[in-house]
Amino acid sequence: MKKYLALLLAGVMLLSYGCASGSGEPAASSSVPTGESSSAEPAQNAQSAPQAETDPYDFSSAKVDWKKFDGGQIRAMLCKHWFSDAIVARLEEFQALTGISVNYEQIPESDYANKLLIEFNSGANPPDVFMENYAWLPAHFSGGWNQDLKAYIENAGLTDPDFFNFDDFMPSAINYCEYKDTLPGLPVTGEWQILYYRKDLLEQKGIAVPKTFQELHDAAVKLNDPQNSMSGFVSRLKRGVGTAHVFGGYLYSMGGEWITVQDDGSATVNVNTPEGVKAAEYYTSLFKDAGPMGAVNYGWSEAVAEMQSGKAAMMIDANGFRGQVEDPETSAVAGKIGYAPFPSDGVHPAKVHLNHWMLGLSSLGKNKDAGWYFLQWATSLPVAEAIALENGNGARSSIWENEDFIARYGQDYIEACQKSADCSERYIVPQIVEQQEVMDIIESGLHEIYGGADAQTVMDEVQAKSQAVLQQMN
Amino acid sequence: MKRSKISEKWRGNNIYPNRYAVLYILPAVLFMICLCLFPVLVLIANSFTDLTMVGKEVHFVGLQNFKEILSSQDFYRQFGLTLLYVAASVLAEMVLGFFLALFFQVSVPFKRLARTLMILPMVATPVAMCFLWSIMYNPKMGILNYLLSLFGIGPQPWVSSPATAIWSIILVDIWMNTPFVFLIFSSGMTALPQDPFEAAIVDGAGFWTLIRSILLPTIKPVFTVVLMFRVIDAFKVFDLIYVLTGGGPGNATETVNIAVYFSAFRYYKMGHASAMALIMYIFVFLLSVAVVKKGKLSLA
Repeated sequence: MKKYLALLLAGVMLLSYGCASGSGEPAASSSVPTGESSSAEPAQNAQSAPQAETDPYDFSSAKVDWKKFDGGQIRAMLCKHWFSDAIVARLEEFQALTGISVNYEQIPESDYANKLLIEFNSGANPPDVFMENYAWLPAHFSGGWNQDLKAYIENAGLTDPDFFNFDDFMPSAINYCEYKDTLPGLPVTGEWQILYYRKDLLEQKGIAVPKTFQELHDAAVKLNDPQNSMSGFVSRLKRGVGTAHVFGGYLYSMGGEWITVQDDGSATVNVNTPEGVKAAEYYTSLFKDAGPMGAVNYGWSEAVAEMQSGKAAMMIDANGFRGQVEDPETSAVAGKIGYAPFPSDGVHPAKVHLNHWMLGLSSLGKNKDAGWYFLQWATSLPVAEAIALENGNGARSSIWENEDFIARYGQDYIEACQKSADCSERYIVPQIVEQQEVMDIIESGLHEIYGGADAQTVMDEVQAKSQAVLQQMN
Repeated sequence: MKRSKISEKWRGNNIYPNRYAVLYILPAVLFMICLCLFPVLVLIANSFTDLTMVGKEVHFVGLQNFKEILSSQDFYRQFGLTLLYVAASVLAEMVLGFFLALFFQVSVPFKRLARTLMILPMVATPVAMCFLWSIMYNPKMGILNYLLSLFGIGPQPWVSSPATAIWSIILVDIWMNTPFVFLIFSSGMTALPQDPFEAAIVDGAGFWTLIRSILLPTIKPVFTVVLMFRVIDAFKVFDLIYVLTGGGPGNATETVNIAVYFSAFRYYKMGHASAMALIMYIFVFLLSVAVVKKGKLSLA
C-alpha cells in the first residue's frame, strides 16, 4: 500500500512541475504575435477603384464587407465604466451590422486587472477584445498579450481608411496609446484631470475660481464646513485606484518628478527632492484641512458620490465623471457645477495626468479579425459621436468641435478639458511592468503623511523602497 | 500481518471484500489529491522559482525568495499584524462565545428565536456583510458615528485611521464568527452529563467553581476543536480586510495574506508570493499540531 502511495505522490509531484513550467508557456509562444494571414497583408489597393464616395458617418458606404464574419462570435472583456455601458447598450446595432455576436463580461475596475491577468495566464478561453489601460499595459505587453493594431488599420481587406478616418483620432491620444513602436489599443475615452466646483457655493462666499494651488487650498478651507457635513475638497487618496497617477499631476506641476523611464527601458526614481516633499505635503494638506473625514478611503467613486450628494464643494478628478454629477436622476447638484482647468503653482507649467481607456485585441484571441470589426465599429465616427454626445467625452478630434456637443456641454467644460489636455503628460504614468508596486509604495507614503508623519522622512523611505523595486527590474 | 488480519475480518463479514474497499474510497482520495494536495505541491514548486504573472521565463532560484522575505522588515510587520489579528479576534470570540453558550443553557425566553437571530452573521455572505459594515463605518454618513453622536461622542474615523483600522476589522470578525463558537460550545454543553454538576451543587460548589473544576475540564475537547478551527480560519482572513480597507490606511492593515495577494496579482511576483504563503502554511500547520497535542485531542 505504501508503495502505491509513494508512486501516486511521485506522479503528483511530476504533474505539478509540468504545471509550473507550463504556466510560462503561452507567453513564450505568443511573444512573437503571429497574426492571421489575412491581417498581416499590407494595404495594396485601398483607394484604387474610384467607387461611390465613402461617408465616414454611413456604415453602408464603407468599402468593408461587414458580413464577412456573419454568424461568428467574439469574446469581450470590459471594465465597468460609462464607456462600456454605452457600448453594451449598442451591441444589437453591431450584431445587426455584422452578424457577429458579442459574448461580453463587464467587471468592476478593482477586479478587472486581476481578471484579465488570470484570463491571459490560463489561456483557456482568451478574450478577443478587451479594454486596456496604461496601468497594466506594460505588464500585458511583457506577456505578449497585446496585438499590434497597425497591421489591421492598414489592411484594406478589413478596413476602409476613408471610413475609419484614423487621422481624426486626437494625435495626443494616439501618442498616448502607442507603446514600444506598436499600437496596442485604440483610444475610446479622453480623460484629463479638471476642477469641478459648485458655482453656487463659490458665489455665496465670493470666492473666485481657483487658478493656482494656493488659491485652491484657500478656497477649499473656506468652503469646508464639517458641522454641516460639507467638505471643501474631495479627490482620490485611497490605495489601488490610481491615486498615485492623480498625485503625479500635482508632483510634476510643482517641478518634481517621480519615475523617469529611459529609452533603453531602465528607470530611475527621484521623488524625495524638495519639490517632491512639497507636493506630497500640499496634496495631503488639501484632505487634512478641507477633505472629508476618512479621506484615505476615498477613491473616485466615493469622491463622485460625495459631489453628487451635494456634500462637497470642489473636486479634482477626470472629466469623465461629468455625466454622473450632471445626471439629474442621481445627482442633487446637476446644473450647479462649474468646470475649470487643472491649477498650477504659478511658477512651473501645469502638467496634468491624462488617461485614455483603449480597446485592444488580444494576441491570444481566436477571432481577431472579427474582433477588429468590433473595434472598428466601436471607434467609428457614428458610434463614437453618439457615445460622446451622451457622455461628454471621447477621443476623436471632431467630437470636441461638434456643434451639438459644444452646445450641450458648455464652453467652460470644453475649455477646461482642452486646457488640461494641452498640458497633459503621459510620462506621469511610469511605463514599467512594476507600475502597481511603485504606486502602492507612494500611496502608502501619502497615507502616512496624511496621518501626520514627517513628509521628508516618508518620501525618503518611498525613494528607497521604489529604488529597490527598480533595481530588481533593471 | 496486520493487513491480512483486517482482510480476514472483512472476509468474515463477507459484505465488503478487500479489493472493493479501495475502489470505494478512491473517489474521495482522488478528490483530496486534486483539490488539496495538488495545489499545495504546486505552491511548493512555485516558491522556489521566479515565476511571474506576466509570462516571463521561469527560473529555479533556490531559496532566494525565502531569503528575501525573511530579511525584509515588511514581512515581520505583516506577520506581527497577522498574529495580533488572530490573537485578538480569537480570544474575544472564544470568551464571548463561551459565555453566550453558558447563558443559553439557562432557560431564557424566546430561546430559539434568539438563537436563530444570533446565527445570522455567520450564515450571511462575508463580502456582502463587509460592504454593509463599510457603510456603517463611514465617518460622515455611517450609522455608528450617528449613534455615538447621540451620546455626545465625536465622530470616530474607524477604518480610516491607522490607529483604529485593524481594531475595527477585528470587531467585524468578532461579530461574524462569535456565533460559530457559540454554536459549537452550545451543543457541547448540551451533550454533557448532568450528574457531576448536580453532585457538585450538593457539595456546595459555587458558580465559578462549577465552571473551573467541572465544566472546563469536561468540555476541553470541544474547546480544543473550536480553538483550532478559529485560529486556522483567522489566519486565513482576507475578504474582510480587502473590502474594508484594502490593506490601508498606509499599510496599517496589511496582513500577510493581503501582502501575498498584492505580490501575486499587483506586483506579478508569483514565486515570491508562493514562498510567503508557504511560510504561513508551515506556521499554521505547526501551530495546529501544537494545539492538538496540547489539547490531547485524538484526531482518530
